[in-house]
Amino acid sequence: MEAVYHFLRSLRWVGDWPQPVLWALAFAVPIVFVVVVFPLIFAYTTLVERKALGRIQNRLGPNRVGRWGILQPIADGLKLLIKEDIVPAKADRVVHTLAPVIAVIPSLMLFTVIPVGSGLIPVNLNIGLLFVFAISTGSVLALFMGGWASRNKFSLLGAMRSVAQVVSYEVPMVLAAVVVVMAVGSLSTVDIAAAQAGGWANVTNWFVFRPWGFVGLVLFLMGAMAESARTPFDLPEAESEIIAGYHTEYSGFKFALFQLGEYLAAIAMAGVTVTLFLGGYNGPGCELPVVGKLIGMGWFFVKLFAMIAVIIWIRGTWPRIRVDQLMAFAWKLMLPMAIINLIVAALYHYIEPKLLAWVVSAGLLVLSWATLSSLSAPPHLQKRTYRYWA
Amino acid sequence: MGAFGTGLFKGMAVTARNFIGSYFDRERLVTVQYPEERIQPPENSRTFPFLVYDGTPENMRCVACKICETECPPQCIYIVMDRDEKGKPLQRPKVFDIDISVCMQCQICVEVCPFDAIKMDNDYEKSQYGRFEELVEHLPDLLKSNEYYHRIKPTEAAAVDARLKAEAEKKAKKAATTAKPAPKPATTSQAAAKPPAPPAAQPKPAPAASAVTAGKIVIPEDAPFSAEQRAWLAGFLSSIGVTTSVASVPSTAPAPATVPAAAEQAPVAAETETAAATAETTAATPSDAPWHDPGLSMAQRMELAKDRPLADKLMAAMAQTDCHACGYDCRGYADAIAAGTEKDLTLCLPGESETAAMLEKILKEAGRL
Repeated sequence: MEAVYHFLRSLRWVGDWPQPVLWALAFAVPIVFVVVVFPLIFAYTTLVERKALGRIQNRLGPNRVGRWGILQPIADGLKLLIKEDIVPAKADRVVHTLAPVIAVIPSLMLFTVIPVGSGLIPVNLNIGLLFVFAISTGSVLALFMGGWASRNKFSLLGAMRSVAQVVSYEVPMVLAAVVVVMAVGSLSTVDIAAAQAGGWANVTNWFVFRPWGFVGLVLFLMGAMAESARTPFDLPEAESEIIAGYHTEYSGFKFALFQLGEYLAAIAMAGVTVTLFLGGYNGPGCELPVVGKLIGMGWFFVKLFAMIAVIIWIRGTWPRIRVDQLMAFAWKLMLPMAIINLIVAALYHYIEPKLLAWVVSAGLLVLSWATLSSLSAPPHLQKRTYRYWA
Repeated sequence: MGAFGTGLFKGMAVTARNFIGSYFDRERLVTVQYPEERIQPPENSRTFPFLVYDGTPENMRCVACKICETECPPQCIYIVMDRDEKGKPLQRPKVFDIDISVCMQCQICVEVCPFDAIKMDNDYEKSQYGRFEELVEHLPDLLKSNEYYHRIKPTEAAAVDARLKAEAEKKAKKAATTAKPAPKPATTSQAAAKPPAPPAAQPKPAPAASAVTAGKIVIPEDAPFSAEQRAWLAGFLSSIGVTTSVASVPSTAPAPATVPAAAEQAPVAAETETAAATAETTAATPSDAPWHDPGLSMAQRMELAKDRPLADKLMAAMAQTDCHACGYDCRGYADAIAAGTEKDLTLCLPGESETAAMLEKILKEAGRL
């Protein structure tokens, strides 16, 4: 926002305008960016996802609307707009209508603290990361409102599942992010991104290249996927079990809003992951004086799409896990691992030289992962023998 | 423990291979984009029957013998034989309807057709905007050329053509070797091109005409039954062991009911107006030929004709479909055998070996063989 303001001040014709007008413009630019660009990314993410899932299953994917199905998101949007908006007879009308709106707003608000480039952030909050967790958890309220207000057992089941899931995965996810806060000493996302600059070609200082950073990335990504109800954690909307979960009773554009909120949350969490562990906008060339900002923005979006691609890839591969496995994974594996990761990150900070610290912390993490996974591995069943089977 | 979680990454490798491979290996993308791309159905696939014609649609192979109509298990075929203005059968269907909403694609019509006239299509695009009249296929829809048959089922069509050719040659040779040229009716030149079914290998023993021994019921001629109802009633009664007969009330038919069989010295006469009229009258008045109903069994028909002259008995042994596969109608063939102008007893295709055996038996009983 400040960057936009200063940019406007420096312009020859606009710079002389009264200050309130310039500030209003400086406010408007990021808002328009967030409200237009990210929903557009959402629209084309759905197309890319459908195409990629198709190719993963050796299908073609949508290819009817425009060349390569390029207009498919528009067709989907139009279809959802003109569909009948159904509210179940016994549903709580107000809450039922409010839920999809509430689902979208936190997802959009997440983008306000994600730096897409050096200094290119809508609002530089000094508690940015806290804001992310506070807001992203708010989406569970929308899911539960929708499930509750629909007066449908499947909706309610899905809502219950989503509450249990988000509450459980919030804990290891926050703990996984705390290692970054420990390393940087700030909750501001701008500071976190800036702390990963430098090193060889602006790459080697990314936190993902530290042992605790890598484990943090994996834990955080798992938690983010669980929180945005993506496969393999899509139990709240498991179609084979509870139809569509909390949005069973939604149609038309309210359904589209739920989808929008969910995808925006996933994209935003991918953006937060990039900021926390993958260096944010840092990359080769982003330190250049003038074009550096644009190059950094390019790097940010490249990493963002790479994260989205990984999430789609995972969706195309892994099966949905069971409810008990879901809880066991969060509490028995991810939470201890996140706590160990905190300790390892502290050790890494104090051990010198850093190469030794790297080896020690990596060894500790591998060892603890091995221990934890063997502890929580399912009991080894006896080999079955069949009496009448040759 | 070593395997903990590695399966997840193996799976991701598989999907990555699929994803990348689908852009380079066309074999992976098996999708057929239907309206633009189509697969030729396999040669042995089948949907609904169609009628084959040679050259032009007028030259259809079907002679309206109604064997398929009789044999069709779900009864989805409806045939009306075409006749000229004098009532003479034209050996082709006037109406040939197949209700494809009823057809179960069993291919039995194809199996029983002696003329290779009906074959299974593999056209699967049969969607319609209605489910009643729209799903009934009429004669023009059903007629397709032999070339089309060759296109969809080359092997089968070639085999059929070879068989038809061989049979036509055999027939021509037979006609040439006969001392007296076969006095075929004029229109049978067309029929000669249509070879009969291969003769049955083992004639079945003819059912004894006296199998029905129970009491006799008389259905009066003026009883208010249609011909169909009458035939059904006769069949029903005989099935419960009652012999039926029709009271000899004078026929109300306008034309003379009977023409002495012996009067027809040459089968050519069978094609004369009189004979045609006879056929008409025979069909119209059950009193003259009460057995003239394909729904009756051989035993029932023989029972109905047991006190009749030789020509009538012979006619009762026919399949009663008036299919003209033999070159006559049923009455004409019986008269020709009785008059001695037709020696071949295996010409009745719908009756198959049952008719042939019965004809032989009747002639033996009459001392003619």
